Order: sequence, then C-alpha cells, then structure tokens
Amino acid sequence: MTLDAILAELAPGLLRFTLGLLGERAVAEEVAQDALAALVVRWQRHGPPENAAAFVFAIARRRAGRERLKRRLLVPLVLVANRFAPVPGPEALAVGRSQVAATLAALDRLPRPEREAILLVAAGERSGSEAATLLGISPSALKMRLHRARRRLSEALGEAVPVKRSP
Amino acid sequence: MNDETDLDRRLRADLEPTPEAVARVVAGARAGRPSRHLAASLAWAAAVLLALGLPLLLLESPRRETATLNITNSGDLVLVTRAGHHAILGGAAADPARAPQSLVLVRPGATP
Repeated sequence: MTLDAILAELAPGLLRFTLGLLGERAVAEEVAQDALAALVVRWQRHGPPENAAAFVFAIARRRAGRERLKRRLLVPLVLVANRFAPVPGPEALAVGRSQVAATLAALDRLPRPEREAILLVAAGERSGSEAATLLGISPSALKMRLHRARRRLSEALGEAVPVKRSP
Repeated sequence: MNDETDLDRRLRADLEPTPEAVARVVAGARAGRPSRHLAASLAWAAAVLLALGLPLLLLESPRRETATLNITNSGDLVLVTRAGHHAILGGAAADPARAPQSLVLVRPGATP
C-alpha cells in the first residue's frame, strides 16, 4: 500500500477522533495533520512503521492531550476575554444547540480514559485489540471502559442504553 | 468486544469531517507544512524561555575585574599605579589627611 493511500484511508477516522477529543474542528484538523505529517516523515526516513494506524493515532492522542492541558491552563484568560466578547447571535446560538454540539459536549463530560476508548473504537474505527494496545490496557479493561462510556454517553444524550447491532 | 451500536454510528456521523477537510489535512501532511498548531507551540516555548531567561540575565551580576595595585613611595608622594591602566598620584604621604584632595588621575598607562 502506498503512503498516499494510507493517508487517505486514515485521515477521516483520525479527524473524527481528534474532533471528539478536542471539540473544535480547526484545532482537530491541526492535530490530525501533525500526526499524519509525522507518519510521512517516518515513512520517508525509515520506511513504513509496523502499524501506520497505531503510529498516527498514538501521536494524535498525545498531542490532543497536550492541547487540552494547554486549554485548561488558559481557562482564566478565556473567561476574562469572554466577559468582553460580543453576545452570540441567533445563528451561533442555533449552532450551539445542534446535535453535533450536543454530542461534543457529552463527550467532553466523559472521563478522559472513557472518552479516548469510545473515540478510538467508534470514531476512529480501531479494532478492540488495537485500541487496547494504544491505551496500554488489557482487552477486558477496554471492554469495561467502552461499556461505561456508552452508558454515560447515552444518558448524556438522552438516548436509550445502546443495543448491540445484530451481526 | 466492540460490537457496534447505534450510539457508535451516531458518534461517527456527528464527527464526520467534510471531504474538503480530509483533502486539506492530507495535502498539508504530504507537503510537510508546519501547522499553525506547531507554530503556536514554538511561539509558546519561545515565550516561556524568554520569560524564564530574561530575569536571569538581568539578575546576573557584572563580573568584577581583579585589580592589582602597585603602591610605592617617591619622595613625599605616594605613587599608586595599576598595570595597564590609570596611574594615581596621592600627595603628601606625611600628611594623610590631604591625600584624598590631591589625587591626580593620569592618562592610561602613564607613569610619572
């Protein structure tokens, strides 16, 4: 498989993963691009990694974590800035109430381990064993995290507890 | 382990990027363009280094030069010289009270 084909295949899932982690499309694109650019450099210098998907998702997870930490440190400044920000218009309010915003808000309220687990599997479409390896946990621990994450998300979104799709 | 649920599908649909976004990210990664994120991180790092380093630079005390003075008597004069620098003439060795008033600075390197 060529590098271009790998990039095209990984990009959508990676973008979903970073958007779910960060909640902002622009920042999510930046982080996803950095992770894919790291893969390009790795590929050109040392050849393809053993698992390209694990490589980019691990980098994106680390960078997203740093981004969230940085944002948390800046919370006081943002609060001050928002005091002087203009009142959001009707369009912005409508967007804020949209289903996507509700999903992002519900994801944001999840504990980090659960958020990462559900996003790797559901949004990033990583297999259970791959996600467990990426998170450094056992497959059974991942199963528990996924179960809790789905339950909490369903509650937050006001949905019935998710039912497994029949194979 | 991760049998897909309706919730998973909803999550994927809500987070779905536009084709333009996918193309933009792939093109950016392929071109090796540094993202704004990276540039911002570098700016942050520079700002932190500056914030930490500037006080250290300002607080650093200036180096003191070691001064070696040579004091000799020449008649009723006390001759104070510093190698390669000013020569200082102190007058009236017999009357120390006058000495500070009669200091003469001679140009660098000069000796009487």
